[in-house]
Amino acid sequence: MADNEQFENPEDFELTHHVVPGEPGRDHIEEMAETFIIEFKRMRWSDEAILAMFRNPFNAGPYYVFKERGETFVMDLLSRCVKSKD
Amino acid sequence: MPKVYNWQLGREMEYPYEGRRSTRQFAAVFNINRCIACQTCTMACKSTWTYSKGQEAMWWNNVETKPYGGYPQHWDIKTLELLGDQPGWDVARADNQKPYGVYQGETLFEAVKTRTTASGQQALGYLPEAKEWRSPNFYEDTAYSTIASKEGRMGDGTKLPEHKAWFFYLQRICNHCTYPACLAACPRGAIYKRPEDGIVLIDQSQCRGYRKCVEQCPYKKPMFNPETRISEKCIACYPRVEGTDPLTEGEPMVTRCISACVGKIRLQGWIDDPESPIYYLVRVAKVALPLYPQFGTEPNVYYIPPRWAPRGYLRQMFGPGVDQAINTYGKPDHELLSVLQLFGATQKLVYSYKVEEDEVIGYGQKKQEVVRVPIEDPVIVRSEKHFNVT
Ligand code: SF4
Ligand code: SF4
Repeated sequence: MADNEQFENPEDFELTHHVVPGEPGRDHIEEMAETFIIEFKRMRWSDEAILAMFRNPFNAGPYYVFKERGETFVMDLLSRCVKSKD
Repeated sequence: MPKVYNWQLGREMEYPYEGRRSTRQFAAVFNINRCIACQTCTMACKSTWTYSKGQEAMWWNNVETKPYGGYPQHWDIKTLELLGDQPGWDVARADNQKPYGVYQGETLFEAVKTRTTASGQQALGYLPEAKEWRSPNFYEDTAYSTIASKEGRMGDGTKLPEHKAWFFYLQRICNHCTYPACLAACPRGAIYKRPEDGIVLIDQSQCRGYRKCVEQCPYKKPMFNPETRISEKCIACYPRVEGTDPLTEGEPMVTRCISACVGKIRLQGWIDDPESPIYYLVRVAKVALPLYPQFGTEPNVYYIPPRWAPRGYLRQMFGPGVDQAINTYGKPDHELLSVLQLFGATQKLVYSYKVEEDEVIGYGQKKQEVVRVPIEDPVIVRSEKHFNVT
């Protein structure tokens, strides 16, 4: 069988999985978004640049947060988590 | 079988060859906390080394989404299953020489004797099927739209199979292991570890494509080229490390994936040189940890674990140092904060560094200054339920 023949079975593409649960009382996705903000702030990115990073579908991680939780959530987190000295 | 010392396990272990450490050992730290999965590193590698015929499914650098992702599919779950239940670590015996304590289970080199009857195998492993290599981001960022979804059997064909509770990105290249399973596995002796920098290479003129390295590397980083019928792997951009790129006029440069990284998550250096920022991150601050140290190959890519992921999952992946690493990273002192600023700051290889009050200076091979970065830390005020950084 040629290598690509076996890929034609669509069942091969079905996701077989089970969820690995998060820890009780933690919002892991919010913590992830906070971490991204802090990390990029440390690299001296502006709030606007960080928000643009969340909006960009090519940045899979931040974009997931933007898509699932919305822009207000990200903006709120930005103003709540990080205040620059200047 | 000879005994070699593996500091990550805090003990001696069996390895088919005598332990002979290289003069310097290539190493890198990847900070998972900063990775946004833009895949620029992946494309930098591909456009440099793997754009030829037969290399279509060859991704020497890949970034996979945990817990679903893996390239090849489920590589780590399958290897962990082969290794089976193991007693784990005696953390009470941890000290500076044995930072994670002593591993009490079997490595893949040891388990090959107790868990299989296969002969001629040096490390426990498996050969992935061709279909497991078909896509580096299968189950992750690729929307599935197949015949089944058109027929309505798979529901919404454009919905991504996301793991909504938590996820993080794992950036993977060859670990240029101190005790490479690929090298041990090769019956032709076609794989060698360079004494001058510890980089592990496959001699393309010696390889006959037996795929023993593909089978026994637990990280599945050697890849078979169906066009040339021989195996290939990440070469740590050795011409750059040798300083032969005209851009830096003889000065050693970091690899393509490291210099291209948008999130500046990567830093390259030497694990065995106490002056190297890599040594500091791994052996002094202990914020960066090896990937699946229990496999026993002493891998040389170290990870700062993601702060947000469940600890049990992280401990399985990075060993017992996870809690201390996350706590230290969450409250970085001045030196740690300074070294973190060196990530992605220059294409030149930083051999040593000096921390000043508001700047960190990186030095090159001849102790000349190659980069100077300000250590300005913004005031971070996080929500009340989490600890604050400053
Ligand atoms: S990661 Fe795999 S291919 Fe790379 S040196 Fe280690 S055993 Fe060999
Ligand atoms: S370039 Fe950097 S931030 Fe982007 S995916 Fe690669 S490691 Fe992550």
